[in-house]
Amino acid sequence: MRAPDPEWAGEVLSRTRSELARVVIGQERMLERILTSLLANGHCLLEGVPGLGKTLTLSTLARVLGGSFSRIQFTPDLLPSDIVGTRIYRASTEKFDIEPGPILSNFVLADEINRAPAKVQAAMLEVMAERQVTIGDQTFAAPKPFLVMATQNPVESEGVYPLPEAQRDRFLMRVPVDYPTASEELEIMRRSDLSPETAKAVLDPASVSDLQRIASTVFVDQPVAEYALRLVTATRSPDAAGLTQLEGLIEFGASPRASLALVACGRGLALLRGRDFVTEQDVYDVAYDVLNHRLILSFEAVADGVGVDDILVELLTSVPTRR
Amino acid sequence: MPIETEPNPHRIETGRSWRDLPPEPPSTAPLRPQVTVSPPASDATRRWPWGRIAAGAIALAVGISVGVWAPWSGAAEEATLPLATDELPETIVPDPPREFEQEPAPPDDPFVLPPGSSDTPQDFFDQLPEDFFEQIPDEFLDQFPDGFFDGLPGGPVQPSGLIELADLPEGYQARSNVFSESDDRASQRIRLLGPFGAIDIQAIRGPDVSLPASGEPFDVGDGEGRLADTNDATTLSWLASDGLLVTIEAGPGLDLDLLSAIAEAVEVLE
Repeated sequence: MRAPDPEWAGEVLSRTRSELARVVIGQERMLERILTSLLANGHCLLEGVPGLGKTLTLSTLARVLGGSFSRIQFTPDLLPSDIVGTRIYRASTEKFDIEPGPILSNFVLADEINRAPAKVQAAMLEVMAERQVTIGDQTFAAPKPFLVMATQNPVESEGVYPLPEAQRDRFLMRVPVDYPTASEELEIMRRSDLSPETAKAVLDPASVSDLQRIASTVFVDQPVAEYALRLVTATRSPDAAGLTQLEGLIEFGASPRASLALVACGRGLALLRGRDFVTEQDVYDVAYDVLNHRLILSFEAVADGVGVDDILVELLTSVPTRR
Repeated sequence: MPIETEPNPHRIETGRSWRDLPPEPPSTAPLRPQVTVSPPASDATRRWPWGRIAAGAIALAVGISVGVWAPWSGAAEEATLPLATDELPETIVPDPPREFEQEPAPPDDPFVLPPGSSDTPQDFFDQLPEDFFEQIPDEFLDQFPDGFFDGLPGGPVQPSGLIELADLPEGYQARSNVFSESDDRASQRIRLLGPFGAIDIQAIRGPDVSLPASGEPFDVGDGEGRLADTNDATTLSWLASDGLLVTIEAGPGLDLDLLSAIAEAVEVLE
């Protein structure tokens, strides 16, 4: 086990980012959030229209980080046993053997998670939360590190099963993926003519675990923690936080899991930026990604066309970093 | 037939996305007017304006009596006679002397009410739409320097304190500064972060503060403090002024030169 060494962490993370950038053009915000999620030891849901490079990003990340990697394409006929594993009868030994599913890997890419029915989503999200799988009478612990990165297409309504709110909460962050800029897209087109770049492994699973341990020791000062708490409690009772303009728009605010997630992601982002202490800016930068899938809007908000983004933009631009 | 809908009661802009988030969070609460929404007339407790009713009744009675009496008295005829321009009646108040005349205000003076507006500034502001101040773009407000709105009702209040730090040793910076105050007691806690970890500086003003009896004597500026270096912490306390106790708390074995440098950086705020 490596002793906490922020300098080593900063150097390794810098190399990881540059290796990722060799393959993935642009999308710096998405890359930063995915690495933050990794350092905070949480799962990440990427949401964006097809063709933005989500799958490429995650498969490249798995290669750069080393360790085992599984990709599960979610389809409407997928079964839970296809993910967690099953017992199969071996005629040669006349016994049942356990065949672990692809979920028992260091890095799992759950592609188009909203295409599988609810029972499959529930089976996978249970593994994400418990970090173990029970097949028959045997329980298998998920390997360390264990990170599930799921992608979701938000625009389609046919043949999709949207994740229930409680299951979305299992994801540490939901990261929106934007279109590349014009210059980035031009570079993507230019590189498509050449042989595609391949990333090299920079880390191994043990080093990733060390990075996660170092991230968990990053210092969080009391005012920073209070700022994170004010953001979360403002979603529960905006009126008490002075945000009367949000009154009646949020049916259910973020849970304490969101407070923990804000601090954990703030730590991860601070380490990624080469610091051993969290600032309010770190918390602010991850707040949208941590909170956007944890709010349930009221009927009035939906009827008036007020979206989660409207509420979060209002909240994040109104809650001050200092009381 | 169009469906009649009530106006959107929520005052937030819609159609925004995460791309609209500014790069930095607000350090203080944005300046927002306190909008008081009056209850609708049907819900409000109905109060009769007895003063206005009485005044109206008197005016009506006087008007009727004058109207009835005037045609026979000739007063109405007299009142309709045009005044001669060269014969001013004595009842007209002459112009005030020039020394009492006020200079006309410049037309762009924001404090001059436009012609035909209400009598008081409060009336003027009451006539503005409810969301008038919210429509002021943030870019306009951002042009004002920091602290411009401090002290205004609803605006941020400048934090006060007991001490401040002048020149900190190299590598150290204040990460938090919390000040609290009650009737006869005030305290302030500043946390420094630097190469040797966190260092807390606590200042307490009160009637019962005194220098701790334990610890070794330690020179601090013009006075003498108490230094305690235990296995758990290094603590230096001194009375910076009458009734103001300052304590520096750090990890065990802190370099005494560094401790002195931090103590010298402490300045008492009057």
